[in-house]
Amino acid sequence: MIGAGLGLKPQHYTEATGDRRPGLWFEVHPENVMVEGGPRLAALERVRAAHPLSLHGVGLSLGGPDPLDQPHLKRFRALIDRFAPFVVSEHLAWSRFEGHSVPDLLPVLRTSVELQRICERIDAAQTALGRALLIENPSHYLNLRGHDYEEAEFLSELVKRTGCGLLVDLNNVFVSARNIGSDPLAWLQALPAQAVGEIHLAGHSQDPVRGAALLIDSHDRPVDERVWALLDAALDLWGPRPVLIERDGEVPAYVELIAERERAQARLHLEVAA
Amino acid sequence: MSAFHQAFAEALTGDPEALAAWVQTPDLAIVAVYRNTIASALVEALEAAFPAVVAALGSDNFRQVAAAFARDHYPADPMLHDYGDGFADWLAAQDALADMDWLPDLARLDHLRLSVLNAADGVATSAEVFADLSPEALSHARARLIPAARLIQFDTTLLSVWDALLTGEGEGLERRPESETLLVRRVGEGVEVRRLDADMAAFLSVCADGGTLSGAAEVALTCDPTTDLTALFSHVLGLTCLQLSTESDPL
Repeated sequence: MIGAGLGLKPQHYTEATGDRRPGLWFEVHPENVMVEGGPRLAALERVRAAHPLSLHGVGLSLGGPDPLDQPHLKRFRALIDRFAPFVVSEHLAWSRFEGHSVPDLLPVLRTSVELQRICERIDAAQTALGRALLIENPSHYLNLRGHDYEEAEFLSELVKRTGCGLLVDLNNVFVSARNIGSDPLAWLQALPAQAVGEIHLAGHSQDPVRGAALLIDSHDRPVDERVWALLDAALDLWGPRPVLIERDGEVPAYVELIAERERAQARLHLEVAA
Repeated sequence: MSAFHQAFAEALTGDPEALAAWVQTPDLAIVAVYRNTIASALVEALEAAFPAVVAALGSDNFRQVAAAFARDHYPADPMLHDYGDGFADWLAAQDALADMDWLPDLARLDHLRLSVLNAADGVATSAEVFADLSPEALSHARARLIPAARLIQFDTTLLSVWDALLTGEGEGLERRPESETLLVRRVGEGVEVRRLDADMAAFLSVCADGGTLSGAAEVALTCDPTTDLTALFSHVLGLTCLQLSTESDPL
């Protein structure tokens, strides 16, 4: 069974490869391994030989104004063919405009027009990649006016119209709820349970200027207790799902990250036992 | 591009008011969260890619310089390990950095090192295969550099400066006014940078440009008439950086 996994960091390749605890898997941003050859790919081959792998894209810009980046889709497809991930995911966000990419997940305006357009782009991406995607909810910082849909409703429509699944980032749910004043439990309850294929957990921080009034999805510290509580609620709603611990800044020793992963794994065991 | 996308792009580059139709005025400043995330990710990517330039400028100065570059140069694609292609030329055009006119060359070498690290896994032809060729076949053969081996040339010496900066030893920071050709090649999981003697540099440059091995030997001899070609070729093969190109596999 796929249990709880970790975002794979280059400094942990060796420990990750040798760690054979049951249910452990790893997630990689495909953009970080879109190289022609060399040690990155070789190390990932070794990890993959020992563990299931998930490819979690950050650069497709599914909500973006530019045409889908065909060379990027080809590179992504080549990695899927090579590493046979058990799941492939992307974001309801955009990052590419006027022929350039920015390393962030910009918010989508959830209108009827955008729904139709983004569904067409997800369709095209899924065809090019030969796989159904899981689509992740990003963190929100701006309370935008002009949406026709609530976010959970919009994600549900994507599922209905494209056959995609959902990757629910519970830290993003928490951060967004605090930043724009939504109800995280109602948000979770509004999703189609059967579509949820993966759960993300990560740490957040406070904005240096606005403090607790603006939380930042910083991935630079352990998962907040209130986000762990959301995991309890989510698993009660949906049953066991692959859970991933993400850490991208202030990356600690492997043993420290695996301890957080063990907590998620123990929670999944409770769910399976029930 | 929709009006919303257009407005967001403008807000990112410094005009939050562009988003006024979608964001309440007190919240417009929050767009800085996105701007800062983008800037810090790009600066971090440059820091990782250009360690010798970081060492030369110091971390704080580098971050300022990198942020200025990043503001005007969003990446062409989403792979950040590839970011910074134009950084060396941009450094060369900065009046404020004119005193450090060797900075762009450091950036070029840093960038090449990273390209070699991530280059395709082409395998070098073994010495045995070359040894099996008849003398005539050998002289007409062409051998190109494998993808993970590249040459770079500077008008003044650079390697000692680059090495000193990366090891923090502070020695060798003088550049000498003599040209220097470096072979940058992947060895195991790392990258080795070595200075080539003039005859070896001439030989490998001809190979890299698609010339025959006899042509490469001639140029090496022209460069240094005392060159022992057998020893030179043996040395080249020891570097495992050449891939024999048969006539059916033209360059």
